[in-house]
Amino acid sequence: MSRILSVEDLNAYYGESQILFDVSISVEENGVVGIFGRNGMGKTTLLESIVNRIDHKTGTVRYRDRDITATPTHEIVRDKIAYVPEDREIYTALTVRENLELAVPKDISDDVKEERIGEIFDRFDRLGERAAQRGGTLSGGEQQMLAIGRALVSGPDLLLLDEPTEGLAPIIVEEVVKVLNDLVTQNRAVLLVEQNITRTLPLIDRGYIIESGHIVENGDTEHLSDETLNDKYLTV
Amino acid sequence: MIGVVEALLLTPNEFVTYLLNGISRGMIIFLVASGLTLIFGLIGLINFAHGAMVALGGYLTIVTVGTTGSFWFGIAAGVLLVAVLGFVLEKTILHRLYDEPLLGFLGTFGIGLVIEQLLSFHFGDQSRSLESPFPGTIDLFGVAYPAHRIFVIVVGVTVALLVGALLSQTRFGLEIHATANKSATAEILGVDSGKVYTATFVLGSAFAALAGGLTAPITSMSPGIGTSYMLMAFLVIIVGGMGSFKGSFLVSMIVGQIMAFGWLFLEPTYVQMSIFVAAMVFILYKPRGFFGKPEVFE
Amino acid sequence: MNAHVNSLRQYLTDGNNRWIGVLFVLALLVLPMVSQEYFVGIVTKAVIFGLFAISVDIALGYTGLITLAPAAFFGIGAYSVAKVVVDYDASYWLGFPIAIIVAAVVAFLIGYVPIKRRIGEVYFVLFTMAFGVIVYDFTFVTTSFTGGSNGLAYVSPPMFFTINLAETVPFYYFSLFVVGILVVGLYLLLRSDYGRILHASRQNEVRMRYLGYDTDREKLLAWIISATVSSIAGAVYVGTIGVASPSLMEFALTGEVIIWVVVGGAGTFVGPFIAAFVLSLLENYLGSVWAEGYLIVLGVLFVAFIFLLPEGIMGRLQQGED
Repeated sequence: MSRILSVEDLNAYYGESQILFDVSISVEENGVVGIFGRNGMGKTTLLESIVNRIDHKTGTVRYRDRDITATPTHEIVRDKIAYVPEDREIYTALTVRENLELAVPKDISDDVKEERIGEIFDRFDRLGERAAQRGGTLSGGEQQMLAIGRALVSGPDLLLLDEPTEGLAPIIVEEVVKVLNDLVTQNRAVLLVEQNITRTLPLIDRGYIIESGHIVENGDTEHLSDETLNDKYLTV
Repeated sequence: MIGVVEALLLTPNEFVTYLLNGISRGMIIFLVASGLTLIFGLIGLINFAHGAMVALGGYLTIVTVGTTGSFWFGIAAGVLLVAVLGFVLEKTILHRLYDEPLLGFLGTFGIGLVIEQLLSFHFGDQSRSLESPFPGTIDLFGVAYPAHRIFVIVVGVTVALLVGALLSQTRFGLEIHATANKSATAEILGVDSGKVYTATFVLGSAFAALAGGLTAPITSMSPGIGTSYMLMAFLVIIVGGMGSFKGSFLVSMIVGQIMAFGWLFLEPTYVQMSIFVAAMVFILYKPRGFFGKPEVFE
Repeated sequence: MNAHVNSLRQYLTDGNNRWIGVLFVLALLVLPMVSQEYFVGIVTKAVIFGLFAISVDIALGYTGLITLAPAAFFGIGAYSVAKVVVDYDASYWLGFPIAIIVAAVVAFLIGYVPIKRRIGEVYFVLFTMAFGVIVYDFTFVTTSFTGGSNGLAYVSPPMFFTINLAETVPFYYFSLFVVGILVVGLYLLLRSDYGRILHASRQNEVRMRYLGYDTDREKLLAWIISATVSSIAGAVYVGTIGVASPSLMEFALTGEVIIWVVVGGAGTFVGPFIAAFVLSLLENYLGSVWAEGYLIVLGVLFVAFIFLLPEGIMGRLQQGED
């Protein structure tokens, strides 16, 4: 299968300190790939590097056949990559609907826009009920739904998700996992970053384990489900 | 306290005249403040070139009217040329300075200085004035009031409504909100934040020029005229609440009225001083002003 | 360009090049013997502006308080002396302690709340701007107290034993003396523990607070020192022009001094002095050939500086002296 995304020899820095070391990963067209690792291992930095959200990095990021290493973030996003950041970044003073409208590309007609927002409201009925409420009034779980909804209305071919279940109550986690289950079976590639491997393994085709900025393991779900790996790299 | 007596003895006609004076004065402040609110309230740039843009807009209007004879053409030329200047400045220098409020202040301060000095170099320090396209008076509530000032009021209200609609009803308004609030998030939603900054700055500068052009027939132009308007506008924005468009409109109106009626009680300079004192108190104890809410732009 | 300017600055501030400083001081001392009197008058002002720039640098560069009120304090000094001499017919010398006290008290009253409340940079800029406008308006409007738009004239420095300070050259030496003492004093102060605390607070205020330093108090003190020295500069200055008028309080002077500080290198002490000295000489030179040119040149120079080396300026502002 052809690759939709490939990252080659990526080194990323925050100020003086290096976060990622020669990281290479790829995602196939319609593939679902997981990145696992403990907190502070560089998972978020990897996603931020892909959408060119950090200042200092070397290496190459390819999307389809284009080099997007130095492309401005908004252009990358307009090229049908959607990114759901770890802390969701909802606009708290904008309404739910406005948050969604903002994410619909400008060149989309009003009809299609309404249709897409309608789909999101169908999928997450609680967002539909709260369409006119300000984003800041939503619960954590609802904000996560809105963040995912915001990514989906842009009609992405590649979805980057940063710890979608992080910091949510167990019952909400279940709900989010259900949504993710839904997402990964559709025609779209997903790169999913998670700490919790057991919950996520059923969702993915294959994955990587990242440790202190290095990719230390990669393989299919069977390989990654090995308990020794889990003990070594993932349990706290 | 003679003033109180005088105020009580105002004839209805005088009262209406003062009221209208206050409104038209407030409108000019609002026009200056509206551009600043966009730039200062949203980009966070302390744009000290704004006053110079007002003066430049005024002079360009005067010059164009002098050669073409048309006031409308003059206003259009002033607004357009200042907008172009704003575009060039933003693209070349200012966009690099947003991250540091201090650098932004210093940079725009220098730019303002150069513009003002070039104006005084070219036009000299003596003031210039302009004839209004509406020379006569209009009867309003039984008072013969200068037509140009009515015109200023109409323009001010129109601008207020248009900008209000722009911010709350359009996609561009959403993008401004998103960028002002957190540009990194706007970017991951596909918003070109650089473009939004440029457009906002250009729009704000255009409003400054409009204010300058409209003032020319009321007050005579001098290179430094914009500075005092700008200082007042900064304080209006603070008291009104940073980023609150409604707030700066309302406070502009209040300040206009204070200036119009205040001189019955105090010398105009004292009136201005007390407004500034009030602003200082606001900065210390209520920095978000009357209407400012965190993260809300409207 | 960047590297050039920085290496030039380093060269000028390098300890091994102290002899340049010594040479400069010697040149100042012998100037009246080799120069025409009118030029001595110009240099007098340049030296005073140098002190003024240093005083502003203490707030701006060393403490990180971006103030738009320097002209107000400069004016307070000038008016104090003028008031004492012109209106009360009292001794010229009495003007100086009054200038110091008034400036210190006003600086305390203005600075206490904003510094304690730690209002943001942007708000401090606007706060001091409003204060500057109020002081300017005040000199204009209180005609009976400050002489209104005419100001207070004529201030003539007195006899000092047998020396007539009203003459250009004696007043030049008098100015050199005052400026010299203050510059050396401030230099020593900033090299002392206090200077180090100020510097460290500029680097990491939170850490200093954890270490038990009352950073707000240090800031307030620096703010008062800055204002007081500005006031002294104004008090000396009024002796050279003979009149305290609202134009001394104009925003233009605040603008100029900020430009001197930034172009000279905020937080470098010597830099602002040199910039003020050189640029005010340039002002006088340009004044005779192209009157309006000075501020245009200054503005362009300033914008160019900010444009070409923002890191340099910011680095200075953030780290204080290296």
